Amino acid sequence: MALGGYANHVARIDLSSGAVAYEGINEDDARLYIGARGLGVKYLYDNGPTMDPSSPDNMLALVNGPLTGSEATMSGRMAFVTKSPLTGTVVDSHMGGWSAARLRWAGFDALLFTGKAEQPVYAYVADGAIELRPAEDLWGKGIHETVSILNDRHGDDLSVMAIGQAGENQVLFAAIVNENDRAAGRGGTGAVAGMKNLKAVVVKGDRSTMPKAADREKWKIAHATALKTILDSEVTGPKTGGLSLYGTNVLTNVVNALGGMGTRNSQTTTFDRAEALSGETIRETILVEEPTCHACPVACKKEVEIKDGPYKGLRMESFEYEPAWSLGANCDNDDAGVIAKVIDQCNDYGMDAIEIGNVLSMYMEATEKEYISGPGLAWGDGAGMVELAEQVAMRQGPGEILGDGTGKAAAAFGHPEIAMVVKGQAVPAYDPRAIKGEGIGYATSNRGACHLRGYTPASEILGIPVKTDPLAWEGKGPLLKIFQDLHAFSDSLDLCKFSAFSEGAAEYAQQYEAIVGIPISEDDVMTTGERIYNLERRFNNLAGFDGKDDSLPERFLKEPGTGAAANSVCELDEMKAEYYEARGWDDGVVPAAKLQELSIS
Amino acid sequence: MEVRLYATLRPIVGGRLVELPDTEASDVRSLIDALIARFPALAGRLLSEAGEIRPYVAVMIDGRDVRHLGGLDAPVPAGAEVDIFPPVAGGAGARVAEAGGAGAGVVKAGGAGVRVVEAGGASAGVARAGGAGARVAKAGGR
Repeated sequence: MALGGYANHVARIDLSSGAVAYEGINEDDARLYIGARGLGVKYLYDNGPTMDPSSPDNMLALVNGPLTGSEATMSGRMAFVTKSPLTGTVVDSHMGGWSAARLRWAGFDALLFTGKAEQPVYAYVADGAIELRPAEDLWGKGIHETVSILNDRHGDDLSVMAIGQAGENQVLFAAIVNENDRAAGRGGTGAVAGMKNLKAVVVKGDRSTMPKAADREKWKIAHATALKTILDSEVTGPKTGGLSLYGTNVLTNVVNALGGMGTRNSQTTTFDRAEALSGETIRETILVEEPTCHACPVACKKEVEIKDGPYKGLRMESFEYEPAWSLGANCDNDDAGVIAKVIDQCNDYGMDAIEIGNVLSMYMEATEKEYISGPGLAWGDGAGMVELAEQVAMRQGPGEILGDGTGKAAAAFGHPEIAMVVKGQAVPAYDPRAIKGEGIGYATSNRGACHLRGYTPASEILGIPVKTDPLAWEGKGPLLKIFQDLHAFSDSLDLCKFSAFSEGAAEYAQQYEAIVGIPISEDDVMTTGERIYNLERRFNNLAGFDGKDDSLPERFLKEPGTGAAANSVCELDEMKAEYYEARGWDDGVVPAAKLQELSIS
Repeated sequence: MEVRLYATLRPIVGGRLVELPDTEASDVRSLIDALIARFPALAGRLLSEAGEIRPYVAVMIDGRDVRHLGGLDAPVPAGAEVDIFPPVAGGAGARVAEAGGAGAGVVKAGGAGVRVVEAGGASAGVARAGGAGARVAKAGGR
């Protein structure tokens, strides 16, 4: 293959028969869709968009980008792509850590799993080969114990990606977690692994096989330029920038100040105890370590140790903004110990921490309004949250229904209106009555409600690339398209989204060109991102989704927020009209002419 | 008047809050001047060399960023809640468009689509100090 950067080595694993076939990268697809998210979606698209996600025919694709595992800053990421059992849409979910880099160092661009193993198995990947090994002894164990056992069994230079009990029990928002704490959290990728009886993927490799750039001289310049933007940034600068010092949870206070913090299942949008859960307070009180990922100087991860209360001594990673909100304000809970405990449960059972927070808050509202029988769950009941999270992972008691996710569970209770979901996936931590770009972003996300498809708060809060008014809806549709297209490209390299606080299309193009060895312009970056976004939408169209599914819960459209968002609702219809116009879509459907324009086939 | 500060600004003022007499803060300019008079180290964190609020710094009056209220000339009503944030973020950026060098491309959303327009001044360049040059926002016409 003429392209540098890639290992040009992909494994197709039929779990039903145990057969493994190896192939190279399709060069045309690599040029059009790059890798990771883009190429993964192409593999899934070619596998077929109409099948039942729980069918053995569904594909679970683990796909690196051409920059994954290289020297590129923030390049320790890979995409898990599948048809989501939670939403029925395409989903790509990414994880940090070192598994992605090690998969590349082990000689692979992608592992494509189809079929269903008769008995639980795990995949062992090393030196360009993959073996399926029995995992009956691991089935039923949490992720932390699974990682420990496999680390002891296989030695050093190892990463383990695994599901816990939630994936085994097919909780529809189950996650795949690597190295104990870094999750591919959204969309139920762990449930698909569980449906396939795939317990874990072990990858063994070291830096001695780190990929080299096609053009070393260009790479030196591209790498130095990109790294300098990260180091100089007031957001990402190591030990100086807000993201580096406080982690993602630095957002808690600012989002609350502008009235964007959904509280009590988004019944209001301000939380009077937000400071207690903020990144600033966490740093002052319980921070103990600041781990990082492959090739990242930012170290946004914040490891904490709980110092008192029932969870005293608990030490865990991932006290992130999203679960600090979903399990905090959203559940009317200000106990950081409870939040740390439930996040750790999510990392051990393998569940999406955004979805579980919404499951709990929905259940709390259902309890308050007497929509359910039984004791239910009171607002802010920390011990009850911990107990119910376990029941969900185990599919026990009320967890049997709640394990289907916020939307399906609320519908089963006869009150779908209390589910803050889009296409069946629960909303993240930016209330669209206060941050309107997120309203159109959640609605049009190809994987259900998501803040990371197009992160307009960069513009609406921070002012990157330009400051826009979070309360104004005008222009947010076209603005979102730019974010979505750029993120689709960086997700396909695969670089951490936080790179985009300091890098731009120019740095992405420069790095891609040096690593892969073919010229690419900033325009090409955006067109490629647009192609990827449209391919995802085409997949969803063929799966039965159209404009009516680009929706928001009525609460965001009819019930005004509080604080700075008082009297404000989300003007979704107006934003959808301008968004579809910018996209060239017909009521959420990609027309044939757009497919042809973007060379999608 | 209580002014609440966050993140990297807190070590500078030694806490979460600064009390200012109402008479010192009738508008944002006088409020910031009063803060800097007490904590000179805030000057370079809040204001650019041209004396404008630095890019990515959020000064909020009752939850509204003063960049949407008239900037330094925005009034500060008695009893207003004032919050000041340094650059803070945690989801994902998008430096699709960037200002740098002599030019300044800023993404502007318009009725029929997205176009690149000229802009300059306060939104340009700070996070790009030493960067490689102008960035082009692209989305025009599609």
